[in-house]
Amino acid sequence: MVDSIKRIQALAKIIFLDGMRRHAVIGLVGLALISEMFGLIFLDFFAQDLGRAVSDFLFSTMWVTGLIFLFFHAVQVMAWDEEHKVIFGIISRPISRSEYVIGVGLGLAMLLLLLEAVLGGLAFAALLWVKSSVVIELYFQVFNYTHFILAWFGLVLSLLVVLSAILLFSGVVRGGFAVLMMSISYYFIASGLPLAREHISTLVQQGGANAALEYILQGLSFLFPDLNRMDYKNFILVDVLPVSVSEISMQAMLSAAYIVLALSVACFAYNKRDIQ
Amino acid sequence: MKRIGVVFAAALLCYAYAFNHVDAVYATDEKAHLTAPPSMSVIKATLPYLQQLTGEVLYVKTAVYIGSVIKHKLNIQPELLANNFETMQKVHPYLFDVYHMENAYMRDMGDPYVKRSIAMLKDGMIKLPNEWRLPFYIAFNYFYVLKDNSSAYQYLHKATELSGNKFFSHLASVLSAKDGELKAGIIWLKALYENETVQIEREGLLKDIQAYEKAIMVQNKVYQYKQIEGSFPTKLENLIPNYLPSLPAIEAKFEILYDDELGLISLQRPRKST
Repeated sequence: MVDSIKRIQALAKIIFLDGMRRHAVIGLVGLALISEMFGLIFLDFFAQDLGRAVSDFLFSTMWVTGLIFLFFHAVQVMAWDEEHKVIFGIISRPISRSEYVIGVGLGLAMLLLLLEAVLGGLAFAALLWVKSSVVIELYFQVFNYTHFILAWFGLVLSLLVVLSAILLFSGVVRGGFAVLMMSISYYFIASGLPLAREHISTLVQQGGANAALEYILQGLSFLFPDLNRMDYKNFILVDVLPVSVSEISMQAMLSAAYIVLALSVACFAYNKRDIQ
Repeated sequence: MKRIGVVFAAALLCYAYAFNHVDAVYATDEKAHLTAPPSMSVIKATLPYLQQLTGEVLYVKTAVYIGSVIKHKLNIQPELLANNFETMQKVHPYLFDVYHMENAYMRDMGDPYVKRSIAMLKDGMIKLPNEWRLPFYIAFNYFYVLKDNSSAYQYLHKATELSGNKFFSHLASVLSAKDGELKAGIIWLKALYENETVQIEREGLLKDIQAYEKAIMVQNKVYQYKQIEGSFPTKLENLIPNYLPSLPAIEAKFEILYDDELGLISLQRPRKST
């Protein structure tokens, strides 16, 4: 077990360093900075709710940057190893396929965490600066540091859920493009499903749809979790948390369990796959 | 090499011509500045974490559109504007600027739009329950546009509870008086004038205040006429020349109405076609 953890750590470190060497993080931080500079013009249009507009913009930038990292870097990692036959060099060593999948996942998660930590730090500094520069307090009354950290964790956790799905698809199918298409489809289904559920639920209440459809959609949401549930950025500007801590903990546990499940299935599928 | 140069020059000419044409069309067609937004469902389904930002982008786009309408003195497209505000409010119900802007512009677009504005503000009260400005805006719309004093009084009390501002309390009591509309109106307008930061809005409110002041002055003369002559004048012109040298000129967006039985002066905005 200890040896297995050491091997996973070693592989994760290689993936992390490889990502740094390919400037995956630095390039995206640069992109995010340009976006935030553009945001200064955008934010000039807001007369009243300046704090909310700033925090929304910064968190959206972090979210988009995270998605770009996942869809343009993370999707390619396992596919690249296969296409360039690097995988044979790795698994010819005493490392199992499961360890390989987990190691890649851990390495990518570390890169994602580093990226979001840098962007989160910049966002925190930007919010502090904007709050101190606002003359009329009414326009930016509250900046709650604890809720900012909660919102950051929510964002990272939802990106990790997407990452786990990408690893699952990488374990199941061959080729970066196929994984990318499946990952994008997954993202859109996960995003649209809550709305479809809401709509069908209303129809069922009015007698316009079969209740079985509601159960089918509920079953689908087991596979495609609602990513929006971990969007806590609206809490940054309030002193009192509008939801209970237990509710947030339950949501975090749900996401963590989903990630573990997706990785388990990815390991299982990759063990069974013919990678020749 | 020479051929490539000729091809390049020809392509550049074509591009410049097409660019000039398209750019001119865009600049003159105000509709191009604001197309109908994708529906709230599409935004929510495709951009879950970004829906708030999308609402804000739509807000900026709408602000630019309104700015161009004011600058070029164009006719506003009320339905499109109302749809935009409703979409913004659905995808980002916590952004206060949306309520501030829709209240400022939809109240001049006719009664159906004022009712839609009030519905949005009421939804906003659920999402932002501690925000006193929302019931204040609702009360203002009920009083100023829909002439529904009892609803206005109810929401004004809510604004008083949330803000703790005694001024609103005073205003609510004046409003509840049956014949206090002009005096209540001017207090209300002055409150809005003090809180307004957009210069063009302040200028509009100042004109309204001046119109109300003139109407109150005429009302006082009517009461003076009754005290001396024993009855209300049958028409306002009867006040000239003993009580007034001439009837004051009222801002064109108001009509002055006179009830000779009760001796009451009121101001009314001419109803706009929608």
